[in-house]
Amino acid sequence: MSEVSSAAGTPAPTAACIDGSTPQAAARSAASAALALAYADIDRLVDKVPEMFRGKIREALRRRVATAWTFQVARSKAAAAGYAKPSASAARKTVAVQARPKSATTTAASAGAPAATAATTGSTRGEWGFLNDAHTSIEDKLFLFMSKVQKKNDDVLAAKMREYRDQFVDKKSGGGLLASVASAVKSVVPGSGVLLDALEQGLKSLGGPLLGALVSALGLPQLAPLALKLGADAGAFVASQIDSKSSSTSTTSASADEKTGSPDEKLAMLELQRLVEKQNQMFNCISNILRNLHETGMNTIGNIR
Amino acid sequence: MLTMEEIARGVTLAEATGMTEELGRFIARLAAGEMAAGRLDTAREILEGLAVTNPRDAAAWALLAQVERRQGRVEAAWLCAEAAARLAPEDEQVRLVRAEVLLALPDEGERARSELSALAATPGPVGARARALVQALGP
Repeated sequence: MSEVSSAAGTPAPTAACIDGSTPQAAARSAASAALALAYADIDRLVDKVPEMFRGKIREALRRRVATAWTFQVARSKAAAAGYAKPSASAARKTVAVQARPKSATTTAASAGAPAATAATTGSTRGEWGFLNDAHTSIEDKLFLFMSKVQKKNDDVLAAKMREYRDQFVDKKSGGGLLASVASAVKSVVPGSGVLLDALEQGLKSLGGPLLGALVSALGLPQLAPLALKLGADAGAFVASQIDSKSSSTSTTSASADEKTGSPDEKLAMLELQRLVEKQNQMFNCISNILRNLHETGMNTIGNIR
Repeated sequence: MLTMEEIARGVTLAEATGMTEELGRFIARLAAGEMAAGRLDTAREILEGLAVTNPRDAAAWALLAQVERRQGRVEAAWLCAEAAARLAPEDEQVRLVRAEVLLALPDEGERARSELSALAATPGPVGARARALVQALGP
């Protein structure tokens, strides 16, 4: 709070003389002017905060300033005298979580749609039109290509997982991608089956972003995008997949047929694994290509020098 | 812009936007103030945003655990407390928050008691609170 109060510590002296009627009115004018100053400082401070919770923070700050203002003016002057200047902050960036990878050049950043510029060898329209655009560099094309393929793979993977959940909802533990999330969260649980209900409820109550943050905090940031996409469904699914082998409680809601280790289930898990491996291979391939391009460029530069 | 790949690599929203630790601490204190004033919904929204912005901030998870517990969502509080304990296992305040959450869970009283007993020797308000809780739990 000292940042805000010190930043807006000096009331506008001229504002006190505006109506000039009574000392009380002058004090109120000065207080209003100072409050307006404080709100402007709040806005400047809050602008550095991610947009998702900017509103609540602004509201809380204004409430504090409004209630404490009349008592803080004199003290804030003394605080402002000895206050250290804030260091230059990083340039403000627009925050948008997207599936598209960050482009190395500015042209790629704006090339969400296929570029409609002239002199192309083929049509630049359509989802893959950027491949025919002669004005887009090869690196940008690679980035765009990777982003589109990744998005498609992610959609297919998410659909497969939902299919698995719908078909094999018997809560049998298996291998696969979400088992990693399950094992990460299960590591939180000290192996006691009694806490499974609590874990399930806890995961269900967390939203997608918070679940993604949770897996990041537990040391598995690579699963955060998946958690973000599946959200509460992932929470329920992971909780259903966690099966403490030493637990004596039997999970319920199974169908009459016993589907443990059925060929269909194994096939579904293998399909999930295949999709994940395919994604990893693509990442590795693109990464190698980009690295080679970079090394070639650096070698060229080194030879010139 | 923060991409999915960067998230998967562990880059936080705070790093991407240039949000400093000072600002993060300030927001956490603000949320604590809201919590102290009884505005738990506001505190929870702020802390959820802070936890999403920087999942490696143990203070955000610990405060969120307290808010969730006060609002009766003990299971979510437990997950948040465990995340905080993972990030800062040596922090006495985080351990105390975790112990308090464990107290609220069924059949976790012994784990809570052992944690509180270990914290009882800590100097300062953490130790005082731990001793008070141990005394309240009885023999």
